[in-house]
Amino acid sequence: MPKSRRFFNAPAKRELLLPALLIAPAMAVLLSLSIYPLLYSVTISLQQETAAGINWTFGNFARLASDSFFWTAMAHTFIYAAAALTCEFLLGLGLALLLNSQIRGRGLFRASLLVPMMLPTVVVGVVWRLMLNPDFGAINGTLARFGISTESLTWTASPRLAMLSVIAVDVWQWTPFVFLVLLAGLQAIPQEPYEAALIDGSSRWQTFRHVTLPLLKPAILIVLLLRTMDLLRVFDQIFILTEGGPGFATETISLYIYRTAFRFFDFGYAAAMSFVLLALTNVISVIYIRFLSHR
Amino acid sequence: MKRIENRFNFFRILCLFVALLFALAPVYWMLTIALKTEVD
Repeated sequence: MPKSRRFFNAPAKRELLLPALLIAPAMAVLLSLSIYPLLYSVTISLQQETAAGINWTFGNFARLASDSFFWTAMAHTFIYAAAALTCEFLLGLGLALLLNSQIRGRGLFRASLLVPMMLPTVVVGVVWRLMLNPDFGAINGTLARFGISTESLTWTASPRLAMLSVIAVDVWQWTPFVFLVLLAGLQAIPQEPYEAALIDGSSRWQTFRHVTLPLLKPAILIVLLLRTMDLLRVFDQIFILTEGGPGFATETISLYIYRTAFRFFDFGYAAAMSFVLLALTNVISVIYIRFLSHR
Repeated sequence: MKRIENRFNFFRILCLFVALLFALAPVYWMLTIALKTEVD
């Protein structure tokens, strides 16, 4: 009997039936909640309604090129992501280096620094919205107590300061995550390269530059990748803090997609923008991996 | 050398306290307003 026939005989079929039945519920959930919406969004992004009916076209994607709101939102997204990522990385790395030694109360410091990350984004948004209130907020109240004039500091209500405010809130909430991953990376570095560097007479900076940083590369790659993906698709925090305003000063691409889909009910165009954002996130991730895994 | 080391440790503790202050001040403020109730 050929091997393929033997595989499909009755006992083998029975053996396959049980695993197939056990996997079926998970597959059904996956298909209905992930695959079907994805395929549906692909179809609506390729459809446009005209008087004659529904046309299959790349019109939604072509429209993006001439949409100034889209490009403004894209610029805001990149400014927001670049500024927040830089601050989070530098602060997180600094804190990880400071806590990567035997100092008294290290556990307490580490646990306390992680508190902002544990809070839900909605809570963070609401609390910071109150704190940044120009009339009764804690920020202006504290500054006024030190004798600083707060008349022009309207934070989320000012087009100039609104972007700075949303970046600061993200940095406050997510620096602990960067710190945690980098600290784990630092503690996984073996002691031998440091001993060799010490024997060779290298300075603190040389040790950091030629021993710590290269050995920390995998942790840096992970943290940059995860934070970039999160920052590019940010929605909830900005929505609670400013709703994209004042005007469109803090409208990122996710907020513009939301506005297009649920205020103007143009789901096809919103789906097309989502795919562009997905493609961009993928391209940036690949660049990171290539750049940082290159020896 | 010992003096430089001590100064570095002081700087490290100072930085950590500043970081701790920035991390926990909003949480403290959140707790104070959550525990306050206005009465006539």
